Amino acid sequence: MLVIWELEENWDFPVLELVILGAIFSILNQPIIFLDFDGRCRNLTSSIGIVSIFLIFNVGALFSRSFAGSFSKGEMQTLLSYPLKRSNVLAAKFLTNLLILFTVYATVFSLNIPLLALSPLEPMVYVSMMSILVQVIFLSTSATTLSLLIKNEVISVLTVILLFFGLESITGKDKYLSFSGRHELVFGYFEYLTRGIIPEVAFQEVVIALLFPLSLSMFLLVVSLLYFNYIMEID
Amino acid sequence: MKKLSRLGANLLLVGISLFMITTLRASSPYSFPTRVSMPSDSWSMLNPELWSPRNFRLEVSSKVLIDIFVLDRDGIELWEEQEMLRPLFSFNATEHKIHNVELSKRGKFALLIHNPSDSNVDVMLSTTLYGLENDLLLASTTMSIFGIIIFLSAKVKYRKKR
Repeated sequence: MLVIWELEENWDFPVLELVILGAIFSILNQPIIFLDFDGRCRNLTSSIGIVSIFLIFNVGALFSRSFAGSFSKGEMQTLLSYPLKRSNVLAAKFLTNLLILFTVYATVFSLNIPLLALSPLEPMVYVSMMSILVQVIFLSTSATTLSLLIKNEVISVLTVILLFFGLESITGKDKYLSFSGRHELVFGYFEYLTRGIIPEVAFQEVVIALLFPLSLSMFLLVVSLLYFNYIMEID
Repeated sequence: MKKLSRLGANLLLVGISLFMITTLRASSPYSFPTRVSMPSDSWSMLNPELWSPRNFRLEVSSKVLIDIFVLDRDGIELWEEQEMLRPLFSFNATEHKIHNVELSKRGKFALLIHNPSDSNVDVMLSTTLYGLENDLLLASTTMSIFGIIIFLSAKVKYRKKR
């Protein structure tokens, strides 16, 4: 029920279409760079820089529209006039947006399988998707927290986009702070495991690269839940 | 927007985006020059590469007449296992020439060179892949056509209902 509400409110025409368009442009616009047949999996990493930028714009707009937008338009007040738990409303909005966004990106990303003549069971495709999922979770929780705190749709969109775009630009290819750096570590580690391609990445580095955004996401999600459940006043 | 017409609009949009992607990808041709030293009466296979279904241009420069074969995945396996030749294309007795062919499929390809002469030779090869990727173009056209059909049939159905 809440999921259908969220789908109708936040994913109406042309939002889903724009997300699909962004995913196609960011993932598939890179031509094949690594021609060596055995090393063709490396082409999966060539679009990651652009994907990270499109993800920031998509998450910033979608989550701010869903959370901050629902306060300014009075939708949240209407929703909470029904006998619903606040935590359920937050969970439904968060999970619906997260899952649809990731499904669109993962589906478009899977088009790389025929384009790179890979096997459907190629582990590096799923490793890349896992890395994108971790980034989507990290951006989504951050955007949710900021939207709940700011409560203004436009300011929230701008804050999320500028903050994360700035962070990605400043950190460059830092191996833990930027998405490109974390993806490089995760991809490099599994590429070494499955294909023996050097340079070898230490297991600890991969664990940090995955746990850093995930633990921060967990913390932000708990903060959002506590704030939305017990502290936030909705007029 | 009704569900069926939205599905049609989505398919049309995906088709158009794929077409734009195809043209974007076509704007970057791949060109890779290679130099191969061939002893007399010898065969040499270059590293297999991933090629897409585009126009293929091969520029050959050699001091003696040589044979060049383009092998696909099956051809490579056949050559490596049984030394049997089943090329997709062959350019026989070539010296200084530019060959143009169109690749029909995506996948693993390799060049096999044969120097039948009794002298050693340095062969210069420049391979270029250019133009639209045919499979992406086909996918985008198919999606667009399906999108238009679904969108229009949904509109007609809706009008009949009214």
